Amino acid sequence: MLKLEAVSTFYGNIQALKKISLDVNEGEIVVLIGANGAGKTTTLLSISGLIRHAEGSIKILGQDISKMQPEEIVGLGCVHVPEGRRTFPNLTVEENLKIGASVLIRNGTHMSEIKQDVEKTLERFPNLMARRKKKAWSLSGGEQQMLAIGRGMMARPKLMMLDEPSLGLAPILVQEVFHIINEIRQQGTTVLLVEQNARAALNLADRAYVLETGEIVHAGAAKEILHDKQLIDAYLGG
Amino acid sequence: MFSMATQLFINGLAIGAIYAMVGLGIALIFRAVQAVNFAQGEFVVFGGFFAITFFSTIGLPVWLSIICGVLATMIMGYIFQRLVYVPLQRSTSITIVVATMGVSIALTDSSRIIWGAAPRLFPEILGSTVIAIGDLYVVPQNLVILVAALILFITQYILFERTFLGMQMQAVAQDKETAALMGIKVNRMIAITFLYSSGLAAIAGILVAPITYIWSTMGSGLVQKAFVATIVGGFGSVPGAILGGLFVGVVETLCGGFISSTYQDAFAFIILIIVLIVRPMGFFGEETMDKA
Ligand SMILES: Nc1ncnc2c1ncn2[C@@H]1O[C@H](COP(=O)(O)OP(=O)(O)OP(=O)(O)O)[C@@H](O)[C@H]1O
Ligand SMILES: [Mg+2]
Repeated sequence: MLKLEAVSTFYGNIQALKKISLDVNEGEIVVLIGANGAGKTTTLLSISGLIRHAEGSIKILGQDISKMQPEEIVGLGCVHVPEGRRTFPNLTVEENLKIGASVLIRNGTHMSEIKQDVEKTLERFPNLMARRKKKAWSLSGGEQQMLAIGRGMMARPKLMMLDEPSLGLAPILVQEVFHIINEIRQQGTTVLLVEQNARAALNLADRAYVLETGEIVHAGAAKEILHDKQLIDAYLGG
Repeated sequence: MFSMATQLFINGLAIGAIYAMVGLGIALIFRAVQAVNFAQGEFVVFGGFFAITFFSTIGLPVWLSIICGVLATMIMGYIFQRLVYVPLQRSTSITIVVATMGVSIALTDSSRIIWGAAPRLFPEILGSTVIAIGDLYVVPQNLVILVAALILFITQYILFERTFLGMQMQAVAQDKETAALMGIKVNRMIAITFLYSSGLAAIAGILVAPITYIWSTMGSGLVQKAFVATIVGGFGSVPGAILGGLFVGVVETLCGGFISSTYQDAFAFIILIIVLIVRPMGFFGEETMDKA
């Protein structure tokens, strides 16, 4: 589904990713963990094309995306739910969801079908249903996160990348977010998840990569890492 | 006294509608690229001159001249976007703004070289016979301006608020990176914004030409007024640009008629100072506050 080989990414002179390799197979949930500034967001930005990687190759469904624009990469079925929610503040909940389907509309999907998808998504998120005509800026943090995830689902992704979806949420909402991610996988979407909330993420995921200052320092089955006390202490702060 | 006030009010609304069209172009481009386009006034001038050329020099009928003038200016706006904005899009806003100032000067001089320094006239669309309504005398061109402005603003409202394209343009204005992640062609949306804004400017030039004439250096004065209008209305706000334009046009025309016509142009800036003191964010300012 997704394959990174020796990918390096720079911000000016600063090398944020140092030849990282990772792959995500169809149907998996793979989690990318690591401390602040490790390069997790940079990895996702390199995959979705918002930042150009300098070296190495990134392939989505076998296609090299090095020369593709972000909107073309979405077209391959790879959707990135960015860090910090980033809902469109002055659009309503419904409009935000419709915008999530931009790539389908560009490829000729009929608006009536998109409207059905909007209804399905709203049914999945009752809080959003109640606020469907409200502007996104008026939503709570949790509602905005649900909207960001729902908006990502609107593109009917084959691969969904989520950047710290549980950040800043109350514990009960964190659970809800992880529950939704599991549902997304059950619907057949592959998931690449970035999380600081390592334990919860490892419980959910099949495999994990540990990133430290731009390098992958560990890779393996999620359960294995979860029970590796040394690793947990060293990289995940207990 | 009453009919004079009414008459001045209508004249003010008409010139205000022109400020609103120019200001709207500035506001839309600002929302899309976070930079003020100081060359917007030159698109008014070129729009007017293009139409005059199609009409007087080439001899096309009035309506066709207007359409060709607007289309030619839109093409110019598109080229401007490609040559000035696209290469600078990763630079800071101030770089882009200074570049638009440079283009503004270059275009002013180009228009003088092409069309000369003398003011040129474009025919009034409904002729020049003043229409009498009771003891009110209305210049037909003012009615043309008001009706055209109304149609434009309604069309724009539908385009921007009721269509998927408009929704995508709003998304781009609010957050370009996330818009790209949604699969929106961000650069195409920005190009459409420039096309539309230069078309608006051209229409403003063609509509105002029969009243004030068109001359090569008129752009900077118009941009100043339009800029005042957008600040009074609330910078970056679409309804703000429209209402701010009408407000500035009406107040300066009334003050010019009743107080001093010599200082008519100064009134716009007096309004600006008063509004900035009383309500610094302008009439519709909140929207821009939460985007800052
Ligand atoms: N726009 C930028 N310009 C320069 N350096 C940057 C930029 N964005 C990130 N960096 C640097 O790149 C490195 C990796 O950052 P990145 O945002 O990918 O980390 P992260 O793992 O997502 O961290 P967090 O958990 O805080 O979100 C950091 O050292 C950071 O300082
Ligand atoms: Mg991050």
